[in-house]
Amino acid sequence: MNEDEIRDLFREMREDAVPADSLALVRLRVEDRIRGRGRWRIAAWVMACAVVVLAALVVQPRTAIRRAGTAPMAARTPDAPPIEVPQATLPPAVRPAIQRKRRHIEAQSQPVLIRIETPDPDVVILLVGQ
Amino acid sequence: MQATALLFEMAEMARTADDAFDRVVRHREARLLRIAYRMLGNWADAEDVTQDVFLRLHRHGMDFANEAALGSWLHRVAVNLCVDKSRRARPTTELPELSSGNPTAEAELLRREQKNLLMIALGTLPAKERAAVVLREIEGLATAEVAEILGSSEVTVRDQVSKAMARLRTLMKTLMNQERR
Repeated sequence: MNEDEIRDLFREMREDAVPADSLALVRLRVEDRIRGRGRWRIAAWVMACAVVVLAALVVQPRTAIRRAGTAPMAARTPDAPPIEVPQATLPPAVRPAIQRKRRHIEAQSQPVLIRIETPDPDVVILLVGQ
Repeated sequence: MQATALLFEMAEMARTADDAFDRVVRHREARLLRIAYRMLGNWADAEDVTQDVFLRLHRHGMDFANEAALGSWLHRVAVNLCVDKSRRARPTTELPELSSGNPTAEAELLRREQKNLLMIALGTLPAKERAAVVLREIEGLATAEVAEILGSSEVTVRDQVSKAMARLRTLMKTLMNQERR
């Protein structure tokens, strides 16, 4: 067999039909895999959305309770006693340190009064500072 | 309202992309399957490779400059997958059943037998040479196209085809002599 005969055979092979079941199988498998991947993608999106919603739910109630603790400005009366916001109990390990800090802040926040007496006994200068 | 419109637009774009992908599968699958079969020598492996090519196309997206670029990309992926697969396993050629005493049927059978011997001979060639012969001689692609698909120069492709043809001639002679005995 020479090269021309081989080339003739090749040309004939170009026209050879591909088995229909092979074509169908490839199409079916490709569709299957693509749909499967699509389903996974949708599931991932649903999961991500669920995580976001859950996170929002976990964070939201705390802020809602804090807001509910303070009455609205319009409802307050000038002589009404201040509403006590319930203090959350902290674990004993962190409590002394926080208390010390709070005491320090309270000491700092007491008003400072400076009294300056002038030569005139009727005139006294008072300086009040925070 | 805008969000709904955007969602509809996105769904429409996805549908258009799917339609384009389906069109490519229908248009190209037979040729890719044939190339893979000529490269690997059996339909089961050829089906696997063709499936992989289309899955890669789906992942890659339909962003090609033109039809030629798409064709070139598909052929390149198919040939690379075939080369990888043929490195892992030796090709097995499916031979047809022999039958009938009808002279026309006998001539047809002889021709088919020659094609099968040619397939066996093709399977013995190095992967790159086989790819060059399949694309250039069987699929009838231009040398420049084959060079682009194989990532080599036109001179290299011509050299590979010429060497492969010489080997095939010798192999066919040997195989046909064995058949006659």
